[in-house]
Amino acid sequence: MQLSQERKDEVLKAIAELIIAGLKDGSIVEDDLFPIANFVLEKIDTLATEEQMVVFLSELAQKWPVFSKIYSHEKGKVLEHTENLAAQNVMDLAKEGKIDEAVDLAKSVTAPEVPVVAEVPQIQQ
Amino acid sequence: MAEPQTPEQPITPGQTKEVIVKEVLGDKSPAKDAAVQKRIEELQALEPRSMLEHIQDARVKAATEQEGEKEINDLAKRGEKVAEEGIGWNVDTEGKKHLETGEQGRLKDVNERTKDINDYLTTDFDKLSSKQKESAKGDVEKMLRGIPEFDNFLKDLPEKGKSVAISNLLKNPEFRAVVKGIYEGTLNTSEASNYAIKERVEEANEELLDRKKESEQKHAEYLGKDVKLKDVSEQLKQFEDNTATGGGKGKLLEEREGLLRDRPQNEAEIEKRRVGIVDIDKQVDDLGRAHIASLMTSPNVDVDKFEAEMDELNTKQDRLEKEKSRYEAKIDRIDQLRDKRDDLIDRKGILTGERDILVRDDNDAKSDEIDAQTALDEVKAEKATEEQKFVNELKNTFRDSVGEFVEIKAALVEEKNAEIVGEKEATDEFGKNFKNALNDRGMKDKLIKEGAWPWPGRKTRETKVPDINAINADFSKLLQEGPDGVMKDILTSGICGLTPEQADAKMQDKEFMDRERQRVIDTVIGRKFQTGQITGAEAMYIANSDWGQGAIKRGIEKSKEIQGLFKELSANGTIKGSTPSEWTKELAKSNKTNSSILTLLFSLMLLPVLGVKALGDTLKESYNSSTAL
Repeated sequence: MQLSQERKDEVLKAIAELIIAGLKDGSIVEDDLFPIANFVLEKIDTLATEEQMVVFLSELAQKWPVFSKIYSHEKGKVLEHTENLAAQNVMDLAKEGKIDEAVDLAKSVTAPEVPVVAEVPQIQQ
Repeated sequence: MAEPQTPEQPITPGQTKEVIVKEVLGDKSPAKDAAVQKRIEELQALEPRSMLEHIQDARVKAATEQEGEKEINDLAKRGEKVAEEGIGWNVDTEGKKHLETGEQGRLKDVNERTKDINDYLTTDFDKLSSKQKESAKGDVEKMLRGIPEFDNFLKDLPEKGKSVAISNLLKNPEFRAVVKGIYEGTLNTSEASNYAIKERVEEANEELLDRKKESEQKHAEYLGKDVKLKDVSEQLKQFEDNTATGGGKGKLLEEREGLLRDRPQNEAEIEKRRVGIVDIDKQVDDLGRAHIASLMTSPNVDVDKFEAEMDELNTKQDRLEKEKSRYEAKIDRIDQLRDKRDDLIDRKGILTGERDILVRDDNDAKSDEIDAQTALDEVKAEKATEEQKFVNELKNTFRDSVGEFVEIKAALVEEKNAEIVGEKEATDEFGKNFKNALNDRGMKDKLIKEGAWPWPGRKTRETKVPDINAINADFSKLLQEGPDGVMKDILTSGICGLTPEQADAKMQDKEFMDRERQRVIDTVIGRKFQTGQITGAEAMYIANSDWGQGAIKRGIEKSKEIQGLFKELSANGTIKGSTPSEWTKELAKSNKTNSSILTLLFSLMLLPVLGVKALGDTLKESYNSSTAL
């Protein structure tokens, strides 16, 4: 799923808000700021898809747990979209009589752990 | 990402105590830390991406500043080290440096200047001592006063304004960076030169000490030999006969002559004693035999009498022996004196030879010592010169920094100006037309036939070639009417195609005229240069016109190389003046040298493809050949 500039700005805004909130409640200190800014700015412009965005947020949350909230939020959104898309594909496959394939696809998208988007199956567009 | 400001709300009675505590002791929350709070406010005022970039830049900037600060502190320490090690050379075995008078003075100067520059680089200008501030300001002002534009600027300022302007320059971080660069360069130069010379001085000094030691040793050897020779000579004087020259005879010579004279008598005396001794021997024998015979014949021999007689004979004989020996000694003394003199002569000869060798060695050693001293003096003088150069460069640090800073700024202004002009030209349609019309000026179309055997001329192409008549016409117009006459021609013809009234109106556009007038002058004179010649009279005519003087002044100012050449020509008395304006005025004076200089200066202005330096050299050569004639 292509990642638009608006989406990137939206995520950047959320990261910035979490930084401010973190500084206020002490979960982020001055010394964290530069590595966070560096990490975010280095990665954000290289992201091309929503899935890559989730991977990026996953790494960010792993390094600085204060960002877990945005990771969960964005992952949920992507999964929801992927699932919708997968459901449509499942249905399309089924309609075409490719029942086994439809089942496999259904299984993969309903798997309980989808930690990173790289593991989300490729959907035939 | 500015957070919406909530209007301040009144506090409730229940909150009062809590607020008072917070006001007094501060908030327990880390965010209430003043620095963090300030940081939050600073970041909140930015858009998300800008905020992250700001965080990143701030760190990089802080690191750079820290690095810069460290670098400056290192430089200051290095300055102290170079100052300490750069002056003097004579260090004893305990590491104590011994300075000569001149070196002491230079070390004092170097230490003072190094401290001033180090303080300037590492401390806020306002925190420097009054003396340091005034000294730096004085140096800067002196340099600025030497540049007419700055001098005029400063003249127009009240005393306080002048002081503030100069202080501001000294506080300018860019200027400080230039000072740092100049200072670093001075330290580099000193390290490279002074240190190398220091080693040479030390070597020369060691050589001198060796030579001195050798010279002292050789001299001592010579003196020892000379004492011996003098002693022998003194002894020989006792054998000399100087009666022929009015002097006397040596004591030993007189003695020997006396002995020779007395020899027969002495030999007679010896003979007498010898006979006497033989006679006594005989008497002793006789007495002995008589005594033995008496003993055999008479038992009552008087032994005491016999012994007394024998003693008397022996005593007599001893006396004769002694007397004989004394006379023999006189005879022997003759030969001894001869042998002694011969020995002294031999020894004198040997000693003289040995002393001569030692004199030569002593002189050679002395000469080597003098050479070593000269070599040391020379290299010490060289070091003193380098040290003084180091002192002067340190003293001129602010002055040189002003020069370089002005050059940097001038280059930036020119660059910026060129950009503006370029941008303006790029968007100015009429300007483009004028430029094209000017480029075609003095040129005509020509059909060129191309193609080789067997069909030469089977292809043709059109090109522009110089039109000598048109070039001469423009050049004449330039001389008669100035550049505005030519400009009006261009404006009212060809691609520009303005009416005379429109052209007059356009010529009121000062910016356009200032920009294009110069280009017209350059192009018209340039075409003339490319196709024909500008006579000395024409060159002088240009040099005496208002527009020509402007062009010449600009031509001189165009490059450092040409300005350098003019300075050289001023220094050797070829042309008076010290600034482009003064040289321009001088060049308007009609003479052959000025005509040569002008002609080549035009070539510099008009044929930039040749390169500034090449033209500078050409100008020099041309001048040399014209003066040689």
